[in-house]
Amino acid sequence: MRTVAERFEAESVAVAPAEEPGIRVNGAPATVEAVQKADVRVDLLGDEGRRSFVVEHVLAPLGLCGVTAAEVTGIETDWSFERPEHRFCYARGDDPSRVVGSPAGLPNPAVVDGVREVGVVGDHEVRRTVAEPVTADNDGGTVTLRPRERGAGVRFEVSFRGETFVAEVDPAGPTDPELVDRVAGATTPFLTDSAREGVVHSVADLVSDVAVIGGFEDLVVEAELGPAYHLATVGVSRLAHERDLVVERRP
Amino acid sequence: MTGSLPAPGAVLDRAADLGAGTERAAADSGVVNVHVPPTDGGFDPATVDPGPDGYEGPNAGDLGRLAAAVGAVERLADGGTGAARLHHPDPVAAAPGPWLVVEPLDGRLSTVHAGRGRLAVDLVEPPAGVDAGLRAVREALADLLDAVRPEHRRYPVGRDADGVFTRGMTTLSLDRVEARDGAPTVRFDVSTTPATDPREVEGLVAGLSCVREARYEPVAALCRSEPPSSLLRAAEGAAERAVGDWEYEWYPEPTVFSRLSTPAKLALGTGTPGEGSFGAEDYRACRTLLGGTVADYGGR
Repeated sequence: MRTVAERFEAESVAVAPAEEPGIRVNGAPATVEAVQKADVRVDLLGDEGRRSFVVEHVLAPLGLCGVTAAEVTGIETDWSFERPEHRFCYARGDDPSRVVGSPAGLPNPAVVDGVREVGVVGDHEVRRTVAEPVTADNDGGTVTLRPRERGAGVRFEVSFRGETFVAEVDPAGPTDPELVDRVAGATTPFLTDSAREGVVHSVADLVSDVAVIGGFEDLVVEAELGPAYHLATVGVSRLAHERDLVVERRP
Repeated sequence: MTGSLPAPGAVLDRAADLGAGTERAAADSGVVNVHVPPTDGGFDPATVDPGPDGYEGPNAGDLGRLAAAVGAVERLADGGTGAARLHHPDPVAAAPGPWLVVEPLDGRLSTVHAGRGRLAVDLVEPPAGVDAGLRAVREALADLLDAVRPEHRRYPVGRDADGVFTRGMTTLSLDRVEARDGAPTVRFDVSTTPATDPREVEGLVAGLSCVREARYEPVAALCRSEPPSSLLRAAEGAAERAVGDWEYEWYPEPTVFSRLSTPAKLALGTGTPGEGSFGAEDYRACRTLLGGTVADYGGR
């Protein structure tokens, strides 16, 4: 596994080294089983019904930086009631640290900066792909996962709001820093009218939902995304697991 | 009958039958209180058309939610787990036990209802002459409305028709303009949050050249309830079964919920305020939400 060399704090979150494989957010594992909500955002469900909100915006920068294991903790202490996730927490009696997504709607570029500053340690030997193509086709869009050779990384071919974008990301290794900065600096389509920026941002969400939550390192991902596209991006990961199509490969 | 919805005319009689025992049952403990306040104008079945897809008409939402509550409480009384008493038409506030207030929350749960305030803005005396005076008032109104328009440095609140962002912000809406004697007074309704600062509300307009004085007056405080955690867990489980997920949202204004003095209260329900329709799916989900909450709470 590849984890951060030491703890750091970024906007909204602290990221610490993990002793076990996988990324956990406020104690909840970033896995398809823990996903409670996937439509306009992704929430993970932890102990006592406590959610972590907008997790895709912290899982994406970690995946873009090749981090496969980390302990993420929300550190927000101030309420921002204009954010529906903060209203949710206030109503339920939870505190604002449950919301780990950046208030600016970015795939937290400060996490990218933090990972670069402290560095990544460890090796990630087990890599996963799918045994055969799997497609989710629902109100969130159409997403297909195709097998890819070991060590190839994930190729995203995305279309969204009439724009297309192709990106090569290794969620368990190095990725082109310019691509990482571009994707981590792209605002969520819910807050920007720019279709170009939206399609670039959607790659971050795919890294979160397919590579990190789905647990895949080698794939070709073809995505035609609709408005609430996490339904499709998490949905295809869920389908691959439910159909027992995940293939682990070692050196 | 319309699908699974009962005939509109039968709902009030069944509600009255269930509500008749409320005073007597108020002494019982271990019972969940259920109340459906009118939010879409009332429960007049004459305004509700039993169309092919459910209720339609001005009171469709209110009558549909009342029908769902009646159905859920009747089923519980017929041997289900847990017990509920329907308070209709008025709640017996002194009844023991927690409260479920059924409101148009589109399947969400709510423990927070926004507060309400008023802002009175006295304008400076307009110039003499009909044309000049009207022009000055018109320009002052334009300046005021522009000044109270919600703004946010990040979020597109100007086109936030669903209240995704503005529901959690202090927002002002024009109530009326009074011009009985001398300078006009413009009155706004103010929806408040825990972060609302009266001086900031007054400050939105106080610096305008057309304003002589701005006065904020609180009307109803924001209400945040604290129901038992076991009731929340029961409602969350029931919502997951009823609508596929559970979410919390604030209600945009004070209601009967806000006035119930107990902290042990939770608002929940289906439908959308002012929609003019309440479909069979709304009815099914609302019954499941209510009945499941009471059953799970009673079973703990």
